[in-house]
Amino acid sequence: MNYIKIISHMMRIDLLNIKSSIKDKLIDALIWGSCTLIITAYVLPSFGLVNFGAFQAASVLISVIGFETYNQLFMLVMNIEQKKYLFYLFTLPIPVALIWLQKIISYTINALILSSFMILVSKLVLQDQMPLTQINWPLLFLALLVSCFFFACFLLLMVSFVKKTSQVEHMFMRVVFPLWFFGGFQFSWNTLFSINKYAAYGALISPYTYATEAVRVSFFGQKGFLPYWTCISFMLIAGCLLATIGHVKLKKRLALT
Amino acid sequence: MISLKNAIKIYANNHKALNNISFTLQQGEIIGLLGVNGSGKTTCSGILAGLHCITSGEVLYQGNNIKKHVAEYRKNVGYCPQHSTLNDNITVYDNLLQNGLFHGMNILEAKKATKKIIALLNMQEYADKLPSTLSGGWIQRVMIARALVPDPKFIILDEPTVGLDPHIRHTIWEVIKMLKQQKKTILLTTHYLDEADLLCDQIIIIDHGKVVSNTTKDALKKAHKNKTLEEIFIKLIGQDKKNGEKL
Repeated sequence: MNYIKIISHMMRIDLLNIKSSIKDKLIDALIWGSCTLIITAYVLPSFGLVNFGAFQAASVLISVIGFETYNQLFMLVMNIEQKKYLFYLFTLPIPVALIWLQKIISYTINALILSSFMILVSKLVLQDQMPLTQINWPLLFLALLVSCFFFACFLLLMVSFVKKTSQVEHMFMRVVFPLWFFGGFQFSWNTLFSINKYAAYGALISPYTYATEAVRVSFFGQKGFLPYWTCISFMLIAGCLLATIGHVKLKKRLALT
Repeated sequence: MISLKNAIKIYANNHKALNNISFTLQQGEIIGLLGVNGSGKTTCSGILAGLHCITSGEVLYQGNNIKKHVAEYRKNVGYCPQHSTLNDNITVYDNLLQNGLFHGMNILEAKKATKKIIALLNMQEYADKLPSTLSGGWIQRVMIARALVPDPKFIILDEPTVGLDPHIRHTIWEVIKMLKQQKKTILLTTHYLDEADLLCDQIIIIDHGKVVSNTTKDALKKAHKNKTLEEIFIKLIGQDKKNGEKL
């Protein structure tokens, strides 16, 4: 049996699903991203705070991936809880691990579309505060791609822990939110290190730290941020590890062959 | 053709769903797997579908343990679980077509098989509808249709008529009879004894994860002095008739 053929058919179906839902997701991202950027670029400076619109744009590109992960987590947990379409996929002539791999690819593409869209939104809101010529585009694209891949893998791990849809909210508030907020949403890792090195070491637990730092390197250059390739390597290795743990845990919990 | 040998299934929460179950399904027969709720019927069908693993024991397909070739084994199985697993974002036609493609058919073969099954089950009117717009009876019919597209040798119907109106149950029964004429091997899990009596050749009764009876329908009735299947079932399970509302 040609597994690649099956995966490509599954991808086609998922891309159709993405196509049908992407418009609403883009609108959501536009509203949320614009609000955040308007406040940080135009309102906060009027209080005497430093204008860090472009700096915040890097966070927004990653945050939108995180929010999408939350949406997907809810959908996936519901699918498992109600034994819906996913259970049909588990009966197909393809190993379960490859089904998860396909889902990771699919979620990566979905998040990448949203994140790429946020570059446009950021530029529209920030105008001259975000000069596109200063961006290292290959590094930015790679950082976004790897971040999307990482969060897709992280999603699989979270699904393996969350058994009910009612627990999704708790997972978000107790785990994802602290990781997001302490993961350099509004500051660089070096800034945190200069204030409190223990807190900075603690922030290294958060995947958001690596994702936002990698994007900031592509925006502003390497100086003042965590090494780009360390961030990329961490996300790739940790992503594969977390996905494997998630797969093993789900296989056991759902008693899959 | 397909055998379950000394199967024990213990779930992660330590619930022992199957307790050393063994039985064989012969080709071209309809086998009724009967039992009350929680007896292990769905666990059995999930294992035979290649969806769930067993804790110990073997599932043999044509003499070979499916464990090492489970993905390949699934090509031979059409599985209809109790609840809808249809993709609600695509039409009924696409749900069927995709199953053909997922099972290794090329696009032309899958289209041909889909159209054939749609015609066979008189589903033309619903082919372009989304599953979420269909009634329970039609969803069951679509689920059966989807399972049939790749032309599986072995079909598992897990309580296909539960909660359906009598006339829709009859329609589903006609579909099952039609499949029997095509020499398909069918495992029908049900707790409707009239359904089992009408459709099945072999009756396996399980209770608390154990087989309490496994014989042909006629032999079962003969051994119990031609009592009805319902009376035999209650006797074997040891339940009060009044408690078995669904029986």
